[in-house]
Amino acid sequence: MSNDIGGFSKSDFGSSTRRRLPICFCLDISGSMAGYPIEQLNDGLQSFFSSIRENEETRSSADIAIITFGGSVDIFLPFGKTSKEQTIPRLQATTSLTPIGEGILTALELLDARKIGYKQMGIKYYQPWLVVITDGAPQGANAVENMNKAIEAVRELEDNDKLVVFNIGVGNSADFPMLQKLSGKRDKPISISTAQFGKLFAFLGSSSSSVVSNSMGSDALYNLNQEPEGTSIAMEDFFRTIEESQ
Amino acid sequence: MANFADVLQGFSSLVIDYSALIELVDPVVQNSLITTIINQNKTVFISKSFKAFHESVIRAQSPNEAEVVAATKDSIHRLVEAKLLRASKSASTVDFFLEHLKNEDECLLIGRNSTSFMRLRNINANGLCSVFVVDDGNIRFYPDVNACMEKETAYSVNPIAGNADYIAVDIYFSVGDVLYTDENEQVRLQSLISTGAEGLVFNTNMDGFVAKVYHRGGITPLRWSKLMKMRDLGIQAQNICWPYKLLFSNSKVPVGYLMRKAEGVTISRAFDGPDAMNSYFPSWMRLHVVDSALSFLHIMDYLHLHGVLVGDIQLKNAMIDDEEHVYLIDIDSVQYQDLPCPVGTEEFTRPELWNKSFVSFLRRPQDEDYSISILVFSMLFCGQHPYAQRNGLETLRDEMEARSFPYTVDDSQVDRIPIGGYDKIWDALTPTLKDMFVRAFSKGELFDSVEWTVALTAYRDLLEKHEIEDEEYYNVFPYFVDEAEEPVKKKSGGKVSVREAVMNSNWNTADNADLFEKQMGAKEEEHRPQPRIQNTPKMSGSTSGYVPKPKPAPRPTPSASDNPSPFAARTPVDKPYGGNIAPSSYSSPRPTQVPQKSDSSSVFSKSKMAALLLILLGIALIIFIFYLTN
Repeated sequence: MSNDIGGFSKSDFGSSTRRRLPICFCLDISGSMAGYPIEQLNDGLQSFFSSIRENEETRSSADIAIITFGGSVDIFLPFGKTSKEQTIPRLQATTSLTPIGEGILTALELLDARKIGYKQMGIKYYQPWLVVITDGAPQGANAVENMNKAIEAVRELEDNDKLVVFNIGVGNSADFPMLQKLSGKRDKPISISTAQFGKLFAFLGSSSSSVVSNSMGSDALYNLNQEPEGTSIAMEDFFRTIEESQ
Repeated sequence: MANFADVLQGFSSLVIDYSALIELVDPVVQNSLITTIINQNKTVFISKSFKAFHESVIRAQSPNEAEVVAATKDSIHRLVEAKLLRASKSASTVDFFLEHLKNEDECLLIGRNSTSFMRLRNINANGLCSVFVVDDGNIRFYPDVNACMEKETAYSVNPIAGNADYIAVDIYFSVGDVLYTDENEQVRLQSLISTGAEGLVFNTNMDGFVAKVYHRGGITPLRWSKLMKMRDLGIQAQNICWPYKLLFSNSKVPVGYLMRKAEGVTISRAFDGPDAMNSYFPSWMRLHVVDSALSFLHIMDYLHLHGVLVGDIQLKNAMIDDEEHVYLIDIDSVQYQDLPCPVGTEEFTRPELWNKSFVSFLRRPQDEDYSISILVFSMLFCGQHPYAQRNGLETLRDEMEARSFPYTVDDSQVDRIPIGGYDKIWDALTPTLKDMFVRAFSKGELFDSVEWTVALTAYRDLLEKHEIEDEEYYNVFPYFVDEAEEPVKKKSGGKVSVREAVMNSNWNTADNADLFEKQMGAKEEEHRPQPRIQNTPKMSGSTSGYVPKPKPAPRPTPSASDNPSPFAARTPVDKPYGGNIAPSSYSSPRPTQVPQKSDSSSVFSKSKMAALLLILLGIALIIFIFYLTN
């Protein structure tokens, strides 16, 4: 058979039998991210990758690509290139505009191609994740038009349970109304300050591991609350409950 | 026992499920029961499950069951000597029951707390045969199956299962801290082994035992009452990390439990395609893969015998040290009596149960059968899922619901089988296994763990006796071609699609591109398989047509040869089954396990030595010529 599998070669998929979770990050590196924000983003991303690698479940399952947008849309990390030993180069902010829409459309292309690859290889997969992180609003030529196209495409996939969307706004100048439109399942976009990147990526890491280790239901992905499900009760009440049940 | 003897007078024969002997508990009682049977000259019917259960108990090496195992061996021997034992051909427990339920003059002896009893109930048959129920040493008699089921009520799910409350104390433990057992023994946490979603596992000062300590909110009423019941059941099997003692803080707050330490690697990690298999078990043959699956099944058989349904069956809930040493871990979630297993994964769960809350019902043995069929397939196929396939439906969920199984007996849909050599693993299976898989995954039929045990045992015996012609079929991955090694063809010319433009990526910076190039190089290196012993070419010159396989190299772990495996003594049911048992159902026990491993003196046959010598001579010649020409 041909080596061309949805644009990939067979070796890009590895020989693992694990069910893959494709995650495409769509990251804002426009001018406003320069300095402290991009450093925080980088640190968060680094710790995310190391937690993915340390976890036995996600190591072979999480399949990650990174797209950046800042002036142009670039594939910073294509699919099929993550392995245990690899270090992720640090992002650098550009001095230019924010083509979010184009970034998202490229991410969808990438995810679609990856899924075609899985299907042709016979690899099991979870529905992909799209993680959009921005601190601004769509900018550049045809920015609004492209953004609307992106929103339409994302929502159609999400509505059909073919995509899990993480719409994340950083700081106060992020276009939250625009981010809101990206997901119909999340009540409101995830809002973080530049100091919270670490926490955000920890959440993404633990969510991905809970998806791959316990594949029943994805509702939890829309709930950032990681508290235990039940109520905390006094020890005497706890033991009374047990006694009464016997 | 007088009572038993009197009642038994009225029947022509007795049907014994293995669970009854285990639940008799007292070897003296078992002994006198067998004496009664022999004195009254009653025929005893057993099924193939009898042998499978017996083997599972021998394998478990439970110190507290040594006596009952010895008594059972003795009972079998005495019944064989008296020519009273009749073995049924059916491996299925349900089929075996169905064969006998209609016989008014027969009587069934069965353990109350086994899954066999659950199966008997689920048949829902109007059985005419009478029943002796053995319940933890006590025997109760019922004139027919209906009367039995009416009195011996079924468990219904305990409502406590839906209660997610937890104790309002924030206690965190780490290395160096001391916990207490119910008997106030001190347990010191010595080093962290693993961090999971539910809690932490520590090495302790008690040799061979580890402590699981739950995260905040992890101890729910369901969890703790189940742990108490499990501790009371007191399973001491060497291959099951059963809750041995409960653990408390110094202020008596429940925090976790103590269990046997498992050795090796998580099965899901090693059984994950050819590269992982080769890196963890480089010397393995297919026989070892089959034996590993059997080791896992023996644990299932054992727990079923004791009335435990594992529920959350999956490859990551077991560890493997070698093919004989598989350990079940993470078993605090099992279903026992009225306490359900609250978790499960889609990939191993019957589609009928997907949308139910796992705490709202008790799983049936049939539900477990489904999970076990996926487990058996996944192990034989080195981690591959039966419903993984090429160009299939949108999700695995859809495939499972549609029972869209890509493997067929006539190989008619081979292009649907995932890339990576899995089609050849299928080809190497026995016709019986292929038939069972097709019936299970295409038609939704269910087979219990004993039936899989019997089918796999037949397969492993063929491999061990070298009765399969194709030499490749002895390899973990027969006819393996490392397709990932094929060079990537760069497309040139023609129209480039958006996607290809995307794929051929516009790198951020030249530096990054360089970095990735390097990393890609490193990755290629990592994926290059180590030389595979399996691929050693056939030796020529064999006259018999029987070509001995090169023996796998001894495992690098020093213990493999130094310490004889504790399971080495497991098969010697010292008196072979004999008498009037159908030979097809009971052959004499296997002489030794995997003789290749210990039999190192014959690793190199004479012809192989000769070949080696020739190669060395050749190399010397080349070096010599090289020097001459320079």
